[in-house]
Amino acid sequence: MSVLALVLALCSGAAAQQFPAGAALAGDEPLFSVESPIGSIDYLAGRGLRLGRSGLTIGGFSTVEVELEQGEHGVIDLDSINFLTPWRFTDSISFFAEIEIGGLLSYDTGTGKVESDVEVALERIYGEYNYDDRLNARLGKFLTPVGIWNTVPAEPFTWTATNPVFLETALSEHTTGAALFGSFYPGENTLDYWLYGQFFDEIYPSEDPEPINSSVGGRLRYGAPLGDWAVGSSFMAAELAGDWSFLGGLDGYWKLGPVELQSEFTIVGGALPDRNQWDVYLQGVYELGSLTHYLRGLYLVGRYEHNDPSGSIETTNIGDVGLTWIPTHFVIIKAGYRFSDRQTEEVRRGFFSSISVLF
Amino acid sequence: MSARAALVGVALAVSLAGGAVAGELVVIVHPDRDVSLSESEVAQIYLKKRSFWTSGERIVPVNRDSGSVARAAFAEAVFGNDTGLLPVYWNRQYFRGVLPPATLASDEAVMRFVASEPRAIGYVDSERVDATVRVVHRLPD
Repeated sequence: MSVLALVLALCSGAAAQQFPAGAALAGDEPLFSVESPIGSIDYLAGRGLRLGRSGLTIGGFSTVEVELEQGEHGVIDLDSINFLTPWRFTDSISFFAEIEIGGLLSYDTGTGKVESDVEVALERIYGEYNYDDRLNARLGKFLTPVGIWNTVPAEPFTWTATNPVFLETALSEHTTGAALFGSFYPGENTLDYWLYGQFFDEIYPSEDPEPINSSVGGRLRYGAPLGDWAVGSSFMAAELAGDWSFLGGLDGYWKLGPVELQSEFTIVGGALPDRNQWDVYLQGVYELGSLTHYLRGLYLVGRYEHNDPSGSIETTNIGDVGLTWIPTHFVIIKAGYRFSDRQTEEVRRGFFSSISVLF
Repeated sequence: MSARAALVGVALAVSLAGGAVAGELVVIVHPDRDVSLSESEVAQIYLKKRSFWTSGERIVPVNRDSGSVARAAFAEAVFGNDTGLLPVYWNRQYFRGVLPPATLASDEAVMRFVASEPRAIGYVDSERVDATVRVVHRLPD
């Protein structure tokens, strides 16, 4: 069934290339529909299966990675299948869960071994009460709203097959607790805010960095109405066994025509030494399709990152260059090379690529 | 049949099949909704950056089908020529559990839906508008 859906979806993607210039290729039309007692059940390529009037959508994504790390054998990973289940009960109440089935298959090109270590994890699970645009409440496990990258960190939705280093060392990717958030519209612009805290043990915690016991944080983001530019700041205090760590961050985003720039500065200090560091990255994306329609969907990506851990650990300068090709909205192909002046557990050099499919 | 009559017939057929925009595009809501919207507010609604009417009800935006002339004209008027990153935008919204607006296949369908759904917003050719909906914004040609 899923293979058939993928084939049909790819066919619809080919058709999508015929759309008039200017049409939004959002994947918002059903690939097929079936009438049922709960209304029309629609499948939208790369946007999931919408189950009639129930308000439930079941979709997700999957990624295959091909890595040629310097000094290591090449590896081909069927990394994970992630299921996304947004469920809107009423205008005000909704539920969301992301379930990841990871470690599916890994092929070592040097030894010829195929390994599988399947794990199921609850990446996100939360309920929301939406009063209006200005006031919303969330309870559960969600992505920690620090900076830009950590709010959408999954492979298909980033420009490179590698992540900035600070994501794995400076903060916990998830928060298990509660958040208040919303948007105001001063003038023509948008001011978004987040206030949040962790007061439960994390559900399915990540291993790096060590899971915290509690936290409190906030984020402000001010930007243009359509998001062409935005500046943001983040703050978070995290506690582990009575010791506190403090994070501050600034970020910026700017898009003009075919060019997109994004940068984050993060500094962490306090009594949790593994997290202490400062880090900055600048990423640029150029839409090559603006040059000629033959390159439609192709993007040139470059990123420079400087990471400076505290203590005796040396600083690291990291560069990523690559191409991202989005032939149709639900297929994302990335290939890039990462170089750096040091190779560490977090900074792996070499060729990294991935193919992701949204379903 | 004269050549002119044949040409008119073909033009009419194309217009009916492809949904060509004869007049200007206008943004419409239910007649009971007393609002006016700026172009950036319309854009925010269609990007789901703005989800609630000031009365507290959730906004239900509807798009025309993506192969239609009206959809292309709307996208150009509201988002300019800068639509290359829209698929990336909607992919990221999908990860957040936010789905793009639903689509309807004709101006008539948009008119019927908006006239019957107090939370709805849509856009149609101005020549199709009647008293069953309220115009809240006129898009530039």
